[in-house]
Formats: sequence, C-alpha cells, structure tokens
Amino acid sequence: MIRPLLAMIAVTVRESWRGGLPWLVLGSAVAVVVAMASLDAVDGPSRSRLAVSLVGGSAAFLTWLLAAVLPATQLRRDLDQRQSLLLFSKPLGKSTYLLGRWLGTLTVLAAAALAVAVAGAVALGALGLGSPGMRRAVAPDAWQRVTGLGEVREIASTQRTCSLDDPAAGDGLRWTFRGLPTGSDLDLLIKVAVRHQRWELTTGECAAQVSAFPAADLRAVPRVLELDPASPYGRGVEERPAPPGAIVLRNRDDKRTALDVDFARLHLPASCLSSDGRAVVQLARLDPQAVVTVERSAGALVATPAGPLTPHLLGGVLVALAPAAVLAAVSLLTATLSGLPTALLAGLTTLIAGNAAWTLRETLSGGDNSAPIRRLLELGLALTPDFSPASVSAGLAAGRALEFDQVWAAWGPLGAWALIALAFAWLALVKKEL
Amino acid sequence: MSANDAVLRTVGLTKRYADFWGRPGPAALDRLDLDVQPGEVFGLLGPNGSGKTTTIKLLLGLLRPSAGDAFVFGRSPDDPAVKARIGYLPEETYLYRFLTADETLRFFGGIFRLPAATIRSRSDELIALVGLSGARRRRLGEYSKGMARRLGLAQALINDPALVILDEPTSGLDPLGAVEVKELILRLKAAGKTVLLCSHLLADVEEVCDRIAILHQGTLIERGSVADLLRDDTRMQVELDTADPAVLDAVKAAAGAHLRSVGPPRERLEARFRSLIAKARQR
Repeated sequence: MIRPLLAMIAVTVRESWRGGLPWLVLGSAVAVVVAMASLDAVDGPSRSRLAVSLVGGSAAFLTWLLAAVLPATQLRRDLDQRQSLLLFSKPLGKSTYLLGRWLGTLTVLAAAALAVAVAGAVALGALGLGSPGMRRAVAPDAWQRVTGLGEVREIASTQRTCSLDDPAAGDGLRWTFRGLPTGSDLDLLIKVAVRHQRWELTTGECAAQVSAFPAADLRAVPRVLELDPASPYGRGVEERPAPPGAIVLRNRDDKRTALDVDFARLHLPASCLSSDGRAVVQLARLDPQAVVTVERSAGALVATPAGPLTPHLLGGVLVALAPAAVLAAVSLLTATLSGLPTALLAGLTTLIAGNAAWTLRETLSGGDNSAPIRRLLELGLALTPDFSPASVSAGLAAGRALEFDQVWAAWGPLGAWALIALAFAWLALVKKEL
Repeated sequence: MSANDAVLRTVGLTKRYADFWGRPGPAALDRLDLDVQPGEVFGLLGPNGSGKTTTIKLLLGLLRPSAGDAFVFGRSPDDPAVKARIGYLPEETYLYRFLTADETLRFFGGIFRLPAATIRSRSDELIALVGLSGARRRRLGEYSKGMARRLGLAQALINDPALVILDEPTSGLDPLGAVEVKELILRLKAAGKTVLLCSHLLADVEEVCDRIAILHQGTLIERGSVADLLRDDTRMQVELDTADPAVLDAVKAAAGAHLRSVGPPRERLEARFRSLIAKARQR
C-alpha cells in the first residue's frame, strides 16, 4: 500500500504546485507583510501582538480555505474527466486513493502555511516590530485554601474555582508548583475575578499580599513578592495606591488569557525555588469587602522562558492543520457524492460552522434557551466540528508558548472527525460505478 | 484449450444500469459468454452502444455485473493481484495533463509497486518504443492527441502485463502510427501476451486478431476466428503473375459465365502510403 500511497501523495502535491498554488502563497505572504507594515497600534508591544496575530491568523485562514477547495477540485476532475477509469483499473485501492489525496493535500497545506508563517516571522524582524518573548505558563500542581487564622484546608480535586469571601479577610490560597527551572528568577502571574461582598455594589479591585516560601520550605517565613515594574496592573491608582507590601488585583474573567495584559506580574526570586524545582506561593486577601474568585488552572501561573517566537509560530501551523484535515476530508466526501459546486459549498459551510461552534457552546451555556432550542443547539454542536482549539494565534501574540496539550486538543477530536469523513468518502467511492 | 484455462472468461455476464429510483433499465450487456485464451489477440467489435466498453469495464472491475460472472486469470476482476497483471488503454487517453511522460510512467510504475530501477529502465524502453524520446520532459498538456495516445500505450505496458486491453488503440494516430501499433500488438502476441482489442477500424482488427466477437445492443451475435468468419467457400479468387492478354483470354474462356471480374490488382492505400513516406524519408 505504501508505494501507491506515496505515488498518489506525490501526484497531488505536483498537481497543486503546477496548478499555480505557489503564486497564491507568494501573494498571500506579500499581502501579510504589507499589512504588517501598515499596522497601527497604541504602542510597540501592541503593534507586535497585532502583527503576530495577523501572521498566525493569515496562515491558518489560507490553509483552511485551500483545504475546503483543493481536494474537491482534484477528485471531481478525476471522476468527471475519467482519470478514475485508468486509476482504478490498476491495483490502486479506493482507500489508498482517498488517503493519498488527503495526505497530499495536507502536505501542500503545511508547506503553504509554513511559507506564510516564515515570511511573517522574517518580516517581524525586518520591520522592527519585534516579537513577544515567549513564555511557558506552568500551572500549579496543587492548591489549598488558607483561612484567616492560618489553617490550611484541602480543596476538592473536582472544584474548578475557589472563592475567598471570609468577611474578616486574611484568607487566601496556597499553590505548589513543580518542575520549574532553577537558577534564575521567574515571573509569577496572578489573575482573579473580583466582586463586592454585596452583589448590588460593584468593585473590580482587591488588595492582596503575595508571598513565597524560601526554597519551598513551609517552615520558613514567607517572603513578600515584589510587583514587576512592567506588570500591567497592581500598583493601584494615584488616589488609592496599594498598601505597602501589597498589590491591587483587578477583576479579570476566564476569557481574558493574555499573559502580558490580564495577569498581575510579580518577581519570583530563584531563592524561593527548591533544588528540585518546587515553589510554594501564597496569596492573602486584604480587602474584606471584596470577594476574590480564583480559577484552579489559570489563577496562578509561573511563566518560564520558552525561547523565541518562530518555533512556536511553526508549531501553530501544525495546530492549524487540524481543522484543515477535517475540511479536506469533508471536501473529498462531498466531491464523491456530488458535483464540484456543491462540494465547494459544503467545504466552505464546514469552514464557517467549525469556526462558529464556540458560539453554539456559549449560547448553550447561557442557560436562557427553551428546551427545543436547547436540543437543537446540542444537535448542532454534536454535528459540527469545533475549530476553536486550533485558534492559537491570539495566544501566540500574547506571548504564550505553544504546548503539546494544545496540539493534542486540536488533533484529537478533529482528527477523529477527519477519519469519519474519510471513511464515509471511501464507502461512497466504493459504491460508485465508473 | 479449455474454458478453464482462459485468461478472460464471462458466463452469462449481464449489466443493467439502474435509474435514479433504482429500477433496472435495458441491458447494456445481456448474457455474454465468451472466453479469451492465453496468447491470442481477441477482437471485440460492435457499433456504438453495443456493450464493448461495458464489457471491458466489467472485466476491469470498474462496474459490478447485474448477473453472471466474469473471471480474469480465473479470479474476480476486483482482485488486486489480477489488476497487477493487466495493462489497459482506454478509448480516450485519461492521463494527467500536468505530468510529463517520465512522471506519468513513474506514477503508474509506483502504483504497480515496481522497483525504481525497473521503472527507469522500462520507461526508457517504452518511451523509445512509442517514439516520444524527444518529448519525454514536456507536460502532457503540450502533447498532440497522437502523442498522448502513444504515451497511453506506454503506460498500458509499464508493468509488463500478461493481458493487455486496448480500446481503440489507433485512435488519433496517423497511418504510420497505426501501423506501428499493429506491429506492436503482433510483437506482444509473439511474446506470449494476451491482447483484447476493441476497435471500430475493421481493417485493423482483421489484420491482427486471431478471433473476434461481435456485439450488437448488448448481445453477442457472432464469434469465431477471423479466417473462419471471413471465409467464403462459394467463390474463388485467382491470382496471375502476368498481364499477358493471351493468358487472360484463356482464363476468361475457362471461367465462362462464372467469371465476375478481371483486372489489375489494387494496392491497399495504407501500403502505398507507407512506401511513399519511406521513400520521402530516404531523400
């Protein structure tokens, strides 16, 4: 099977290359670079973020659009112009043919996306836009609640958030981090949601003290951590500065995930890390009128350096290929069943639906829907591949390193969708008489 | 030779195309029984719509029979091992226009899982055989119909098949090209290959085929060896090696009322054409 498969992959790549795809990719890369040069933002870092977002988004969009169009065009041509007669008179299985077309398409798409991403990365440097320093956000390994009296209580593993609402204040959280790189200072990032104890009153800020146990030794006296001068918030305002040794946390909900904008940043000295890379950090709420809610996985993070942007951008291309794999498979399926216009329409519809799946989810989670509408939305969600795990360009722009989990989160479910579509395409092709 | 030794065998092979609602339509092929023996050149003839192409598609596993069976090398046509032994040239040359001749043969060689060295050597041999050495690196989109047809013939032979199925192989070729194809068919036969030939050009079929079958509206109406089918025992043909009027008069007198025609033999146009072109090339 391997030789015929490779032959089909090669012919797919060759067809795309000689069909003018390089010019399209070149044009897209030039358009991205020109757009980057004309970006306008409030400051340099913002402009850099916009540029990275533009590069990542453009590479992904180009990939997805081509995935919805290319395979359908090639397969329909094989069927309509009868190359299929010659192909299937040979010992070429229909599964091998479909797999070859699909993998060949993914190869072409990967090359196209990489070309745009590399052009963008080069342009970032050439245009002086700079790039965000990539950081890997390490989540805590464990967390515990600390009462105002200093008692440490375990938090259930199923509990996703924890609210600090003791009327007397002084309560807090303790996080334990493991696997941190030792030998240099790190950044501690804190993000919380803040509201007033009384629902009818509003507040979006809460004073808090953040400390760390030297060498992660719980017997030592915690050391108060200093706010990073470049932290986006934490000092309070001129009229209400932060108390000495404390910071002012601002309300941020779970949708705000930009590491350099939505998190208060503090210095975590190397002396607070144990030799095996552990750190124990504690937050104490100082404002009795504010209720602080912290998310388990994203309330406190330690940012470790993750190298330059380019490898992560290229990794983002890999993630962006996951929806492309689905679109290519759907494109092949619909081209087997119907003519080219219908197949193209189906591919584009899947592209739009996949990118809009998160709105269905949001609407469902809103809870304001009638039962029939809810069922309809659930059905829609079940039948729609969700492309949102593959949208990593915003995270990259915010300086968040690409993790293997994100690759798996995209390829796991979307890979399954692609295989299902390919299986149906194979069934349709097997039943088709040539 | 028994039917069981046949390279191709059909038993009651029937094909009805269904309409949109799945209702079977008229038979495109109706209870075809035929066999093709190893090493013979078998002609499949018939007017348009007689079922020739349907028969070929059934033998290649491209269509499923509505009834009856087809066997190729004693096995189902769907069997990949069977397809690996067949070379097929369709009625139109359905090759990828964006590939060159080399790439086309390499592609099909890969599908047949041929070693790279074998593909290279056979490509060189076949491209020379079909007269495309000067155009092997040009894309098929730039080829004339005749050139594409020649390459189609080359791809049909890339796997050194035991069975070669040729549907209108001389279509699009000039007379010299057609002669070369016929000579190739005879060379294939001499090499022990079996050839199934579909053609409208009866003169071509007559020259190369051992046996033929004639289809009409999906039904087999005649089958047999070319010699037997064309033999007419009710008349005689006499050839003289002289135009001496005295000899002619004697022949006429001897034939009497049975004589139908006397005259100088007519050279076939094709032979005349070939000799004129050969002379022109020598100048």
